[in-house]
Amino acid sequence: MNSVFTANLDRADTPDKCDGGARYVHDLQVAGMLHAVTVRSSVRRGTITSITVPELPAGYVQVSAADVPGVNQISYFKDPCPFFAPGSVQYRGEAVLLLVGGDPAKLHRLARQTIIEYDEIPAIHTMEEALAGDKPPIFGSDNIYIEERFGHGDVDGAIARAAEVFTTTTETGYQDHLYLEPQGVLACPEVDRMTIYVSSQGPHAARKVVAAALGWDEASVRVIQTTVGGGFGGKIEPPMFLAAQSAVAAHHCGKPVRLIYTREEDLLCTTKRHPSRITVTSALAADGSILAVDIDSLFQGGGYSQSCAMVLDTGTKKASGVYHFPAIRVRGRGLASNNPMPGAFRGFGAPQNYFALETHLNALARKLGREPLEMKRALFIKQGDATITGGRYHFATGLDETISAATEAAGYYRRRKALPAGPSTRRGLGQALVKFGAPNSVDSKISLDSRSIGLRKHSDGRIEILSELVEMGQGLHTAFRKLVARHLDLPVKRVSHAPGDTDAVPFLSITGASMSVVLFGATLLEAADKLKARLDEPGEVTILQPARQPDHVFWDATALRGEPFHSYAWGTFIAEVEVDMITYQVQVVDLWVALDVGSVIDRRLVQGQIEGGAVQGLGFSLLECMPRDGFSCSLTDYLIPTFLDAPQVHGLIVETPYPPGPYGAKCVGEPPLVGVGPAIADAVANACGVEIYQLPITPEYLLQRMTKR
Amino acid sequence: MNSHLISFQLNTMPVSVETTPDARLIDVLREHFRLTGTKEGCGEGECGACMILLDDRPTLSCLVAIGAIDGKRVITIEGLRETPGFAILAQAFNDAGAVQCGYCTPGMIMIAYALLRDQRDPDESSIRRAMAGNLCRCTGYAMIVEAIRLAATRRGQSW
Amino acid sequence: MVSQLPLHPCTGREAAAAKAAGAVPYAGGTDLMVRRAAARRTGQEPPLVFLDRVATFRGITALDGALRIGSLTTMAELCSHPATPGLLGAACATVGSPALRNAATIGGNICTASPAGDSLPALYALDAEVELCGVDTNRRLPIDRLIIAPGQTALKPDELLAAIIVSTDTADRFYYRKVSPRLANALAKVSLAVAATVHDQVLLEMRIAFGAVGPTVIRCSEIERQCRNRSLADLAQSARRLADLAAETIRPIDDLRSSAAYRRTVAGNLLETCLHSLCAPTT
Repeated sequence: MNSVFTANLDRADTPDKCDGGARYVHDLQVAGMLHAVTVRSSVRRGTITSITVPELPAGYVQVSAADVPGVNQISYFKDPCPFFAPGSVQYRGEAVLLLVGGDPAKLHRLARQTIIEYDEIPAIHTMEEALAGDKPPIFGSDNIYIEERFGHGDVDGAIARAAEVFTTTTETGYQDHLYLEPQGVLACPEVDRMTIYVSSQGPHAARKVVAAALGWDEASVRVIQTTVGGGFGGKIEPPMFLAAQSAVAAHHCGKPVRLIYTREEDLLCTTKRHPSRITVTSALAADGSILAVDIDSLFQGGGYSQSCAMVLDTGTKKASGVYHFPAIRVRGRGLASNNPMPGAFRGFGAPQNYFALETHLNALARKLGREPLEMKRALFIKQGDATITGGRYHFATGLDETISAATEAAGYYRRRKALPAGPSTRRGLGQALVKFGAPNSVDSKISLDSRSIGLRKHSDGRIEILSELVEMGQGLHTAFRKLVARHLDLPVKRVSHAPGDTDAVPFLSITGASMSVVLFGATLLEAADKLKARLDEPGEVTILQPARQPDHVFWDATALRGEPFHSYAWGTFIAEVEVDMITYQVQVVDLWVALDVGSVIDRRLVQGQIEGGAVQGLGFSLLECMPRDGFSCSLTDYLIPTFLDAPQVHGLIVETPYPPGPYGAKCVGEPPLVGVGPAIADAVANACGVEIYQLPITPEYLLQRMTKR
Repeated sequence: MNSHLISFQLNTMPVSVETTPDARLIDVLREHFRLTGTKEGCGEGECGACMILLDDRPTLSCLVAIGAIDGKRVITIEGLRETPGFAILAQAFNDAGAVQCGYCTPGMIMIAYALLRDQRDPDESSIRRAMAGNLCRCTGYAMIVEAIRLAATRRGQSW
Repeated sequence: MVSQLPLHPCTGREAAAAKAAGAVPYAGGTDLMVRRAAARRTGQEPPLVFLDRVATFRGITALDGALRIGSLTTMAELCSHPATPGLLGAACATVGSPALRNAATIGGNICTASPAGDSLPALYALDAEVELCGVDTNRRLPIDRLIIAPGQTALKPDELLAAIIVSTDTADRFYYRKVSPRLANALAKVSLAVAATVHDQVLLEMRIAFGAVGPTVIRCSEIERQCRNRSLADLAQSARRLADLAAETIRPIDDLRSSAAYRRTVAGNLLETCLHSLCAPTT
């Protein structure tokens, strides 16, 4: 089906972004503003025994845990998560104190002269160490932030009966978001109020955190969203820390305080994608068919849990892929370590799990000599099948259509066995299949009434969208304007988006997890339905529409039963690679990404998400690398794809409408990233004749694999 | 380091600034002249967000000490936006969907302007090579390439 | 007093005097500004002396059978100058990104003395010499005598690199390849520069220089000796053996950017490929 939206809409934010007029937080200056510099832990784990700050000149102050008037805790999280080190540190780079004053150079000099002494505690560097228990635990008694199990059927019985048991273990490393705009906050104290300008993915969440840090009611804090120079999940947690720290500092000094990270700091201490190690075991019948699958998924968290539980939870629920196995058991554990802090990142646990499962199945197909897509097809989820949590796939799946679109465009069946090799190069085609559930269901006992999105008709007939959901480049505000204009049958230029300001727009949600359009877009249309009847009223009309989960969703978060997600996007990824046998470097020549996005609201925006997500996935698959227990604090060593590394990405859009979504739309933000890794790994395996069990596929790793053969 | 008076031409206007000669050009532009269209993405010359034209050549302003530009000409995005070439590039960036978060965009436009000045009709591979020092994390680059090709077809005699 | 010295000296002597007095020479700034970043934020760094007005450090001039390349010549200028030896031009084109090459100078690339400096293997393979300018005396050194260790040169406190001299009439074939983790704007993990002279299907002379596989660029004089005066057909036969010898000659390390094992294997592969391409019949 083709969407009702035929033309692309020009984004309202493009002109200012082109001519340098768009104001990012680093571009703001206010009278009397002070700067803040963070003094950080230089050790991974220890108790702070002393802090010696040099004598501070007049007008300079230090601010630390002792100065927090409210709670020294990021109140967005339930588990301990202090924003100033509370007498001990859990990772290198943890903020111990801020130095605040007028001259940044002087602050840096003072920061360098500040001496912090520690009683070091043996740091936990690896997941093995976290599980071994020979070092004092970081969290609880076992270092496990979260453990979840899902599944159905008799997996142990199937393994015991199997003609053969096939096991693979895959590993993935850190990935940094590498939004181009480093983190930053400006906190401005006013009489009995605090205004925070922040580059974040959730102004109301930041307000809640700042209010708790100051010990104030939330109404006394105003958060104004600045233009966001890229998020990808990386502006969910870290801005809360910067906002709380700078608010405490601004409160302490009675002056505006600006805290801007250098890239070095940003790489050192902001969140990253969780490293993973995932073992997949399948029980095979004598004919090679799969009787059961057992998935054991370990995610390496940091020194505080932050969103480890959320990431592990959504990733684990997605771990069964596009398949309905006769029996399956998924066990996911998020572990504490004293390594750099992971957190939310585009894909939210899915890229690691899809790499594990698709790599397992692709390796199995190669081992059995089967065509992988045909082998997989026997197991595909069909409409009406049960989810691994006992819910249902209620709606049509677009998986087959994405396979057709991608295989035809890539000439997959025709070319995969007949790719030309050069004198010193080899070529390969590889594929991976994904489904991406979004949004994550909320427990059905919890009302979403306190969360709302709104519309305001001004007396001059302009319509304003009242939403805290953040435009961070993805095009959300453009999509919302189109939805509202279409629903109200008004020219889109009459519809604008209110600025992100907690005084002006109601509490709704963090912007993330690919839920904004599919869930809140539908809520927005409910608001539009109400407004439509009142469009002719004189004066101003404001509608606030509470969010609610669609009727087909029931979720019991205690028992982990029901619909884990509202809707599913389906996708097929095909990668064509050329491997240089002199240097073992992998070049992706073409990447086909076919996605079932429900229906398209703006084709250009959807293509932008597909192309950008796919290239970010390519970076994760081939380039982006940090030592698993270490650091790359420079863009000289942390390499993301450039113009020359990015392949031709062929975005192929399939539309299988999701009835509860706005005009049938599902999600598109995260899915383009999640299948890239396994598709490239499969292509490399086909080109080189060795299985690939690690991302990124560095030339060093490939050489090692090919030497062992 | 002692302060010196450094004089240069900024967006066609003669200017002087009293500063230590090792101050970074990007800081002088942003903090002293309040020209915040030049962005800092890395501070080590790896991302291209701080691209300006120094004596007409694309230059990374985070790697330039202010003492090195005495007597030279600097053009920032705020200067470029007065030109017809900018208007064509900005429209092409809009039409191709080349702008998402926008943080890399002024730097992209600066170097694209210089590329199209030096090559009337660059092919895709020339564009990708010329832009290889400018990072974008949102678009995956293809739409930016498309924008520059579009601008090349629409440029006429504008620059 | 340093502050009494000119910020923008116009002669090599003045510049050398400023350096002798403690000023840090600034050429293109691309490496210096990154290294100074942390220190700059604290305002604790020695002053800079800007070299760009020293005329004798600029320009590319033809000498008799040689080329004098002013140390302030940028990578972009070298890439586009018609007189630049092909090997050196190819190497300079792999430095950083286009905008970086507009600022980065050949003199800076040499004096940084990084094992991964992109122009260095080419300069070693061309048997380049350097012209040093002091307050009182000038002198010339072969390039391999200038660079003594990572980040260390034989420059005296009052000396600056004025120019690079490369012979223009020796090698007629060259090979260059830089292996870096990304296609653009990345440091070398291994690089190989080879200059060769072939006459009548016989290799008369060959100079082989590897980058990023030792504390400084590594010349393979034993392999060069074994290759001398051999027929191309014979050389092609020995390519793998010579490549294995190269892998033993270099001194790679494990670091954040790569492994010694990878560098060793790839260095050998590069030399083997190079030998095959040099020996291939030219059309």
